[in-house]
Amino acid sequence: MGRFLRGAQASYILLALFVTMLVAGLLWGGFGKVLAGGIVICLDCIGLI
Amino acid sequence: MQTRRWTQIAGTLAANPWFAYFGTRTIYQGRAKGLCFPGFNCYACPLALFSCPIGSLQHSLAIMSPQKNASAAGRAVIQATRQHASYSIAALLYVLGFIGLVGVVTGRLVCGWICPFGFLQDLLYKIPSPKLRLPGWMRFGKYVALVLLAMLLPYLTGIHWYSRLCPAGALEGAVPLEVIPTKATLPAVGWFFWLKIAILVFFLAWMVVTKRPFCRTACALGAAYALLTPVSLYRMSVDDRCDRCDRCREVCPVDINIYDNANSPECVRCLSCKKACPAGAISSGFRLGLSGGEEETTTSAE
Repeated sequence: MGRFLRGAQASYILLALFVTMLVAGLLWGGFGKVLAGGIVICLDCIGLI
Repeated sequence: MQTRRWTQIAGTLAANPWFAYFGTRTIYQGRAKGLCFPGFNCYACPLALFSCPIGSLQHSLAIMSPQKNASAAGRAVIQATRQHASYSIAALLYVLGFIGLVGVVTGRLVCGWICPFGFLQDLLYKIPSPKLRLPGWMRFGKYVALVLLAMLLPYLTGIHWYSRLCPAGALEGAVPLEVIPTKATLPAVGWFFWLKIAILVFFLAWMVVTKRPFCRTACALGAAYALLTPVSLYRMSVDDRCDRCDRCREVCPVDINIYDNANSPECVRCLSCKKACPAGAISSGFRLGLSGGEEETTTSAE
């Protein structure tokens, strides 16, 4: 397992997985819209409550 | 000035180019805010154009939370976004994919070269003062922060616990918004504001005496990238010309011995060691082959 994780194959498998997730999230949620609600919460998070 | 200083300045400006704030007094909420910046930069900063990956990770988990007792502002968004079941999954896919992609390609290279908060720590450590080394066990703090404060608790409670305590949020978001408030009326300052300020002051003081204490003990984004560093395509290596003179450790911003583990999760790939090594024993580059060996295309850093 350790050898596999250090191998380049694991890097490319993870690369493909993450690219798929990224693209799926963007396409599914709408490019540039997917996190649009976050800014409302962040005002809460910075202690202005 | 070092090339890395220029990229750190460029990274800070790229994350915070919304100078229109001074005229409009409106935090940017356009489409770019729906995308993440790879470094640690608060998206509540009046100048921020992009989202923080860790803030976004918490947000995407909080909106999935079964807990209804979220904070007031959060509750409004959660209620609105829950109506679109696909939203939360899409957000989580995007954020995890983004963090994973950056981590698996570069490891923690972003931390060393463009992260605004890393840049601040590098600068503060230059202030002449007695210097302290960090106990090794403290590096595990950032993994606890990632799992507990940035993932588990936001999901269980619907509250962004990491953001609530984050000193970068205090420095880039809370303080500027108090000094130069938005046009819209903001909620009154609560006790979390002062808690964040206290945490910020503590870390700022620590940054003067210790190399990058926040990156090494508390940065959830650095922890996520660190987990992927052992499999990242960008690799460091040390050959047998190394005579362990420790010149590399002297210049290392995270105080590691690169010859012990060339691809240590702690390494921010700043390449200062490569430049400083008198024997030229340290190399770096992208591993592009499919074999497990260290096939590299060596690059020059500075």
